Amino acid sequence: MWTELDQETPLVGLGHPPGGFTHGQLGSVLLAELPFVELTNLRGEPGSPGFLAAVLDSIGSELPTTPNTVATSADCCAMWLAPNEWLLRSTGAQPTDLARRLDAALGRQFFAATDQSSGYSVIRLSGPHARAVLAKGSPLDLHPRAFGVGQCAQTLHFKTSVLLRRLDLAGQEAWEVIVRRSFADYAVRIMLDAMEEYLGPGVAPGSSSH
Amino acid sequence: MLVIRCPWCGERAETEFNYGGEADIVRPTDAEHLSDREWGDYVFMRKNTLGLHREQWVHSHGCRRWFVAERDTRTYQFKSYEKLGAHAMEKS
Ligand SMILES: [Zn+2]
Repeated sequence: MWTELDQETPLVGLGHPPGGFTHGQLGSVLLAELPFVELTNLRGEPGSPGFLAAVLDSIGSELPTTPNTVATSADCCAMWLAPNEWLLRSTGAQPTDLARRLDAALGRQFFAATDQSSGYSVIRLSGPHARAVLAKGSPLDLHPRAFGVGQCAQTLHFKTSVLLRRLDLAGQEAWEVIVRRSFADYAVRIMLDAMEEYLGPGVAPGSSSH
Repeated sequence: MLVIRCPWCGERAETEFNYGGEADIVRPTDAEHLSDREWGDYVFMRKNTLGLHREQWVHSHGCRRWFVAERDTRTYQFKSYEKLGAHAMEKS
């Protein structure tokens, strides 16, 4: 009889390393899955009295009201999705139960805070070729002039919707891709294919042994 | 490919959007007193404009907001964009 559940990410088909699936090299392009990131969708009217202040109180981060921008706090990153919708991505090691905290803080406000952690996969692409790999599937201008640190955008990656966020990892250009879990396998496999030309021959991405 | 300007997100590729047909079609409020012809007109009949056309778009793969655009059906050139409801608010 099973006594415990073994939690699996949607990339289980590509292998199942404990810290998440990775492929490539940081010197060129590195893809890394960040498993089980806590994500909370928040909807509410930014113009409604007390709404923004109550959110700031409860999660320690402002809600960005400029389209496609990001606001960060010690353990949370708030990404603009729509004029009345944000995705809150926890950045700490431990789950912070944001949805419950928001429920408690916003009480009688007109809002909805929904835990979506199990609905999405979080992928990080880093290295000098990361942008070129993403650009193969996205119609957006990803050049730092047009898409800098502090910005996010919902767009397409080939046939699937993704949320992109530009990162700066110790001076290294990096991107975070948040994709619906049912499309994660598709999105990652097509990224692995896009990475192949930068990683040289002999590195067959996720093809043979699994 | 067309470049379409979402009123919130700015210029994006056409592939991120879906078309929503003619704009400013208002659902009749007294539906129970409508004749079949009037109901049919509301449901099915659309202009087939040659020239400037007011139409609805949705930024499906972006912010998922609907908006109204004015496009020239001869050249496919977009002339203006407005957030949904802006027109109605001006009139009232
Ligand atoms: Zn938009």
